[in-house]
Amino acid sequence: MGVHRHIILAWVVGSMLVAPLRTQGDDLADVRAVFDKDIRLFNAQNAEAFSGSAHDGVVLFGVLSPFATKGKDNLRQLVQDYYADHIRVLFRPVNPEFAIIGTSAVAWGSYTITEYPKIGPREAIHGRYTFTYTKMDSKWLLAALHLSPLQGH
Amino acid sequence: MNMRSTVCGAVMVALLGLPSSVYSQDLAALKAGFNAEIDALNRRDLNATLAPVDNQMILVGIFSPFPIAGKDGFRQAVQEYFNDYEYAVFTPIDPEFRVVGATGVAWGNFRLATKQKNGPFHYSDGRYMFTYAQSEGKWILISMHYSLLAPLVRPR
Repeated sequence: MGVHRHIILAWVVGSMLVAPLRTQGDDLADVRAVFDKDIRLFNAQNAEAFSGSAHDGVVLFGVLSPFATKGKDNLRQLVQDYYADHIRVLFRPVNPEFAIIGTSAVAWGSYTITEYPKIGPREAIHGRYTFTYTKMDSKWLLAALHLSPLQGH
Repeated sequence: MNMRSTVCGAVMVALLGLPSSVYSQDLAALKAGFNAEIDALNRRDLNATLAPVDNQMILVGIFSPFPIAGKDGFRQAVQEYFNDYEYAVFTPIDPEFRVVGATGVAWGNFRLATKQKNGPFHYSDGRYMFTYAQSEGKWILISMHYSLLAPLVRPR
């Protein structure tokens, strides 16, 4: 009986110590996967880019408008309009980093967007980004994005 | 029986009413936290500015092209901001707030009025987005991202 109790106790303590580490690591991998998928979709000019992973109440401060874009439908429309004006658009994260804070997460870093417009020359824009995610029902959803071009771009 | 129905009804109302009531409380707390942070910055109170900041805080600001990660880096950036300007007032314009799960977002436009010693007043206009994580009923600041509107005079 005593041995059993010790084994159970050791198992419970072990689970409590290991579980948070596993969860943190899993969350990091999950957020990274959502981020990477959105970038892949965006570079493939897929309409689901960013809006597929977005919460209905997502907010964007982007490079196409000085005004905030609010809501998943408006975000999808903005991305589609952007694709429509270009032959190709490539978003390349530079030094991407991720932070997990409870059930919130931030993906951040710098970026280069290379645009091949239907009219006009190719253009490269450099800037910084922060994407904020929230975990709901075991799923990481995009809650907010902010892209800020560097001065001169 | 009537008693049981009344209790049952009260429980149902409480259960149904709870989410919107909790949302309102969370939103009010988020607004209060944001206002306290702006007030601390404008009062040049370093400790109060740092109080709600998470250790993994990320700052994307307008004084450096490089993002700053971590509370220590944020502390240094704020201290330099206080040192560099004898007057600095950040005014949010049309502030908005949203709570999504245990994540809070505060965003809007801003005007930053600054003055260096013996220098003229300078005004910068831009956009801000602060994000928060809820921890033990408190909103913890996890990122601040500012972008100036000036570069947007050109299409991008």
